[in-house]
Amino acid sequence: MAVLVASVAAMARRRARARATRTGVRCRRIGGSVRGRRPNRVRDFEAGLTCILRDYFGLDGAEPVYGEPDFERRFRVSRAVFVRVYDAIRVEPLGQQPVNATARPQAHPLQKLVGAFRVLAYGEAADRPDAYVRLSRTTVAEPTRRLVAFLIDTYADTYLRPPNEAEAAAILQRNAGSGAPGCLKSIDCSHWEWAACPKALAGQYQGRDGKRTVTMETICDEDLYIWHLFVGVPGSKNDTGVLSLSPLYRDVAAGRWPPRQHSYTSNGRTRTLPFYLAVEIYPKWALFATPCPNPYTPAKKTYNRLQVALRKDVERLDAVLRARFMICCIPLAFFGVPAH
Amino acid sequence: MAVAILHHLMVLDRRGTFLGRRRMEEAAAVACGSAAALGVAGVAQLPHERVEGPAALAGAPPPDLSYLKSRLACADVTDRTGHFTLLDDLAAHMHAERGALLQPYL
Repeated sequence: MAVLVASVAAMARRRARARATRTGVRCRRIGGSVRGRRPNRVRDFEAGLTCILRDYFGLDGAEPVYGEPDFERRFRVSRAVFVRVYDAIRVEPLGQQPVNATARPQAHPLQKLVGAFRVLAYGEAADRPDAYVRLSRTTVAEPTRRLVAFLIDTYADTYLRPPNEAEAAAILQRNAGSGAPGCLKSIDCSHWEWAACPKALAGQYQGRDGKRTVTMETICDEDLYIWHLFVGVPGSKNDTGVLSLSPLYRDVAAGRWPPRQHSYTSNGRTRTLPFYLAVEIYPKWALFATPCPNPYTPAKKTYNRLQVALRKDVERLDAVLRARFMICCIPLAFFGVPAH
Repeated sequence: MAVAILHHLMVLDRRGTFLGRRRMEEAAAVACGSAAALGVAGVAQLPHERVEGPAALAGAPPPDLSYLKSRLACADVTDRTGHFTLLDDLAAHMHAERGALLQPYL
């Protein structure tokens, strides 16, 4: 039996080695002392943790050095949101404090979280927070990846979804007060410049202005709460092209969206089909209220003016996201191009 | 996506203090004459505000549609005539109430 197990293991090793040779991907050796390797720097993890606690959370009953405005300016989220995320990751591997072979505790999860938030907030290299949080580049980069994955896995179903029936009713009610009964808010596309776009993909991602961009289709309300987010379409596509690839279009084509439970009346005509405010390029469908192309009557001029005013929210969403999280200026920072 | 989630956490945390919302509430209060009518004027609170937990925030399940129904629904949404009728109706509606509607932007 033992011989059989050993031979199966040897076969698996040979197969993995052959696959690695074929694909050019080699597994990196993990752990252990390697001859000639540079010894670890003595970073003094405790000093980094003490600094963070003293500056932002208070140490030994003392008030923190930096208050709520400074905290929010530096981490781009309030202290309550930060603590909520910290509490949520405590049960994850990211939130554990490992102990090394000599029984010394390693980086505290708070240090890793602060480093990850600095990378997201300032868009800085993973090497940069080392001076403050006392963690190496890889010890900051890996938690950043894990934090991004954790946020998406845990919260995407809750916070990145279309409105349910009650929320759609509330949105319609608010927009009826703003002069657009039946409006489910505005839809638009924005482009993120991808400075590190590989040349092989330049043809797909190059827009009409010659820049290589990634497109983001969004629907948001006046509080800039995003009700639909579709990111990753090559920048060579215009808004109509993005729409044809969007899950929104899939749901519309399948008859699953928009909801028809709520009726509204405008100009004496009652409808049940809500609509989105959109720019001129969107298709002439009953789902989109675009500006009038030739506003030759006062009524159409008023409509165009109000349509632009109501549509401004989605136009400024891109700028707000970039200003809040500088990582948005580096699209696809956590994704690589597979080598073939 | 992670950035959008963090942005949402902040929006839910701070929604009541937004300048745009305050302006619309003030304009609605002026239009309606009293703050009690704010809900009617369209500044109703979204239902999920301050609600915690994924179960409470779960989206509505998709309706079960037959093929014919889904085709009809799709044809209704992509109707070109309906688009121009909608624009005409909205233009007439907004023009009739332009005084109150343009007030927040002046």
